[in-house]
Amino acid sequence: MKLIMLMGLCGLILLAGCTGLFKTGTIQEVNVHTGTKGITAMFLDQSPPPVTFMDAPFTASFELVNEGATDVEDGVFSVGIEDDFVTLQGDRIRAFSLYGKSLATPEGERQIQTVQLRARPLPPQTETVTTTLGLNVCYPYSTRAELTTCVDTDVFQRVKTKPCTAKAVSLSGQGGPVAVTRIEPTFAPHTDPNKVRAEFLIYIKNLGTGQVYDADKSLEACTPQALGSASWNVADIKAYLGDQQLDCTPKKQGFGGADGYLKLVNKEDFVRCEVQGGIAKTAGAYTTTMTIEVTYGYTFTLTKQVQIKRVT
Amino acid sequence: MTAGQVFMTQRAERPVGMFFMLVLLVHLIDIFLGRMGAKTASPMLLLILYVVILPFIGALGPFRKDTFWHSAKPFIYLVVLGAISYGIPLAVYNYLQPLNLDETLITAILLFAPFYPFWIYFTHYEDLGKWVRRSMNTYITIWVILLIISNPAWFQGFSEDTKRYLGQDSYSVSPGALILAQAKKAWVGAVQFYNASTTQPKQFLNQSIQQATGDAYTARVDKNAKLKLGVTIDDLKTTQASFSTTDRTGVFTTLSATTIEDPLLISIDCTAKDPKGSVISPDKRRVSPDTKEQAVEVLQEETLDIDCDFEPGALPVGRNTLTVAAQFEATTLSYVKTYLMDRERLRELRAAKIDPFQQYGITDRAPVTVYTSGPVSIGMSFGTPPIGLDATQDEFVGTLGITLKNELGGKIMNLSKLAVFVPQGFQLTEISGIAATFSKARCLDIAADWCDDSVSNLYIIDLTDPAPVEPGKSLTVRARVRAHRTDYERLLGATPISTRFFKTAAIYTYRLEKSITIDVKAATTGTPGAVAAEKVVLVGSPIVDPLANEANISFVTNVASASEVKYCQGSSTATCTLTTSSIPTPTTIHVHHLDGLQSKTRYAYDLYGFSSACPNNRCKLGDQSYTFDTQ
Repeated sequence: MKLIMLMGLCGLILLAGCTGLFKTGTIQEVNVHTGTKGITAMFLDQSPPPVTFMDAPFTASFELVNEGATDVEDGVFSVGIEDDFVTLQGDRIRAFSLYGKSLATPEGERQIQTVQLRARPLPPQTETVTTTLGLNVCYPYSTRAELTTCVDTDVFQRVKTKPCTAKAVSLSGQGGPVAVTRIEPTFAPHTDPNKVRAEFLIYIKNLGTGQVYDADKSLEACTPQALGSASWNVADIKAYLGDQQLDCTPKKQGFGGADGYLKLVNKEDFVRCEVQGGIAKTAGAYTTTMTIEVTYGYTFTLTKQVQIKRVT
Repeated sequence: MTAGQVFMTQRAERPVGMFFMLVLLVHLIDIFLGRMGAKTASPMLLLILYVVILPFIGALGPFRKDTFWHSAKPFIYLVVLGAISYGIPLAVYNYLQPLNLDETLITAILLFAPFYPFWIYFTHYEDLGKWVRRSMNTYITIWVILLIISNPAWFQGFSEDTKRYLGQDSYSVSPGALILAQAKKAWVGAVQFYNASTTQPKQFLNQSIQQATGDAYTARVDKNAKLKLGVTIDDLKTTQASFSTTDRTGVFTTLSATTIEDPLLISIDCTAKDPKGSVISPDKRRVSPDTKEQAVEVLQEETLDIDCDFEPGALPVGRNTLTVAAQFEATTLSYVKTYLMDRERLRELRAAKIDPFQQYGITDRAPVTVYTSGPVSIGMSFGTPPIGLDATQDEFVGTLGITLKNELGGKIMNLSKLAVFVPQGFQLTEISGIAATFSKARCLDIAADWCDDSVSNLYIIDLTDPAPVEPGKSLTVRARVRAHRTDYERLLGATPISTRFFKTAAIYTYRLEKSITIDVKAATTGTPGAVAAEKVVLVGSPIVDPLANEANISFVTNVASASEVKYCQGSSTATCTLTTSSIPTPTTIHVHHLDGLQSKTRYAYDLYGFSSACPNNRCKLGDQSYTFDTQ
C-alpha cells in the first residue's frame, strides 16, 4: 500500500515538472486590454556591469517593452549620468516608438537600446567610486476600458422581472498604468417626465509606479524644463454608452466639448459622465457596451549603480 | 454517518493521512504553480491530477474495497471531489472574473478552493493525527486571512502594492501569488534589516563624534575603500631596560605607510629633550633610515624599522624625552553630490505632491561628503538638495562650506593648497573664514588626468598664513558660489534632475610623532655597563613549544640583555609584516610567549639581543631565520 502511495507521490512530482506537456493546443482569444503596465524598462544583465574599471569603456543596455495595449509613437527617454565619473557618447535624449500588445504581438513590442559610456580616471587616493546611471522614460498613452453595463430606466424599481440590474462594477487593469477601477451607474428622474437621467461615476487610478502628466508634454517631462502649471497628474477622459458620447465633468479649463478632465490626487480621481438628453423611459432595462478612453502621458525612472574601481 | 464516510468501512487500517497529504500537495501545486499562483502548471495537468490520478490512488489505496468492482464506488466519489476542486478556480478565473463581477464575490467563492483537502479533513478528522490536524487548522486560518487581504475590494492598497511588487496583475485575487510576493518581500526586508543593522550603528557613531566636536560640515570616509591610507607609527620601545650616561641611549619603532598611485615621501626625524626641556644637539644622534638628504619613498604599502640612538653622555642624568617623527606630504580628496532642478518644475512637482527623489529614483536624499582615507577629513555642504535654479532670476548664489579636520594624532604642518572644484556653470566669487586668496586655474596647472575643465571649474585657494592644525582641530572655509542664468542649461543638463559634484583636494604636510621618556642614570664605578659592553650571542638553539594559537620560544644568550622576537606568518621574515615580542628586562634565559597565532600555520621568526656593542644596539641572534608550525 505504502509503495502505491510512494509511487503516486513520485508520479506527481514528475508530472509537476512536465508542465509544458499538458498545455492546451487550442487557439485562445487574447485580450490585450488587461494588466496595469504600459512601457516597461529593464537594464540588461551585466550591462551596465556592476563593477567596471577607471578609464575603461562600458555599455549600458536596457530593454523597453510595450506591455500595454496602446501603440507609442512619440516616446522619449533621457539618460542621466554623473559627468564627474562617466562620459557618454551620443545623444542623451532619444525618441522611441513601440507597438502595444495586439493579436500579432500578444506580449507587446520589445526594443533594446544601448548607450556607450566610459569611466573617467579616478581622483588621487581613491580606490573606487559608485556612480548612478538613470533612465527617464516618458510616453503618451491611453487606456481603453470596454464593458457591458446595464441601463435601467425603471428608476423606482417597479418592474420586478428585468433582463438586467444596474449596479456598480469594479475593474482591474485594462492594459495601461492608469486604469478605470470602478463604475457606479445612477438613474434618476429627468426634468422631462418621459425620460430618465443616466449618469455614471467613473473612477480612475494610477496603478503604476510612475507619474501621470499632460499627454502632449513628453519631451518636457523627460528633460529639465517645467511642464507648466496643472500639467502633472492630469488626464483626459472620454466615455461612450453604445455609440453616444457621454458628457463628462469636470472639464479642462477653457475647453468645451464632452471630454472630461482628471486631476489625480493621491493617484486617483473620478468624473461624472451623463447621457446627454437623458434616456427614454420606454427603453426599459437593457444591456449595452460602455467604452471609456483615458489619455495621458506617463513617466518613470530606472536607476542602476555602477562601481568604478582603480586598476592596480 | 457523513456522505464521505459512506464508502469507507476500514478507514482505521488505511493510510488516510498519507492520502490526505497527497491531496494537499496537489492543492498546493494548484495554488503556487497553477491557476492561483505563477500559472506555470498547465490546467490540463491539474485536471489529470484531480480527476484521474488522485481517484486512482484513493480507490486503490486507503478506500479500497474487497473486490475491484466494489472499489468503483469510492473511485467515483473521488472523481466528483476532484472535479469540484478543479472546477472552483476554473469557474472563477475563466468564467466569473471576465464578467467583471464584484471581487468580494470572487473571494467568497475562492474560499472553497481547498475543497478536496477540507473534505477529507472534516470527514476523517480522527484518522489524520494530531500534527496533521494542527497544521491543517493553521492552514485554514492562513487561507482565510490571505483571501481577505488579497481582495482589492477590501484592502485595495495592500493588494495593489503586492501586484506592483510581483509585476503581474492578471488576476486581482490570487492567493498563491500573494504568498510568494509576501515571502519575497519578507526576505528582501530581512536582508535590508541585516545590512542596516551591521553598517548603520558604526556610521551613526562616527557621525555623532564628528558633530559633537563642533564641525561645521561632516563627512564620511569612502565606504568602499579597503586600504587605510596614510602613515602610522608604533609606540616607541627602548633598546635597553635602563640607561646610564655611559650607554648609547636608543629607541626603535616601526612605521607603516600606505598610498595609492601617488608616492609618499617620508622624512624621519629623531629629537631628544633634556630634563630642562632643552633640545639635545642632533649631531650626537644616529637615525636609521637617514632621510636628511633624501626622503624615503613609499609607492604602495611598506613598513620601515626606525632606530634612533644618542651617543653615550649625550643625554644628561634625569628624565629625557626622545621623540621620533615622520613627516610626509599628503593629499586628501573629498566630494559631495548635489541635485539640481529647474525651480519651476520643482514647484510643480511639489504642488502635485510628487516627491522628486522618489520620482527620479534617488535613494541618497541627503548626500554626505565622501573623503579619501587618511589623516585629514574634508566635509562639504552646499544647501539642501534638490536645489532649484530659477529661470526668472538673473543669478543663483549659494554657499559652499568646507571643513578640514585633523583626524589623527599628528599635526597638519602646512596646508599649502586647497583645490576646489565647482560644477561647470558655477563660479567661485568670494571666500571667508580663513586668510587666503584664490585664483581660477586649469586642470593642466595641477597635472591631474582625472580633472576635466569641461566638467568642473577649478579654483586654487592659497592660505596666506597656514598655522599648524592640532589633532582633533578643524578649520572651515566658506566659499560664495554663483551661477548666471545663461549657465542654468549647462547645470541642469538633459535630464529632469541633474547630479553635480563639488570636490576639494587638500595638499598638506602632516607630521606624526611618538615620544618616550627615558630615565638616564649616572654611571656607577666598578662594572659600568658590564652587560651592555659585550656583544650578545645565542647559546645553543632556540626551543619552540607551539600550541594551536600560541607558542613559547625559549633561548639562552651569553650575557644578560633585553631581547626581542620578530615573527610573521610564512617561511621567511623577509617578505612579511613582522610582529614583535619584547622582554625589556636583561636576562640570559629568555622565554617569549607569542599569542594570537593561527592554528596549523607556519611562522618565521628572528631573534634579537640588545647591547651597546651591537650595531644600532641590536644584535641578531643566530645566523638564520627560524620557523615553527602551530598545531
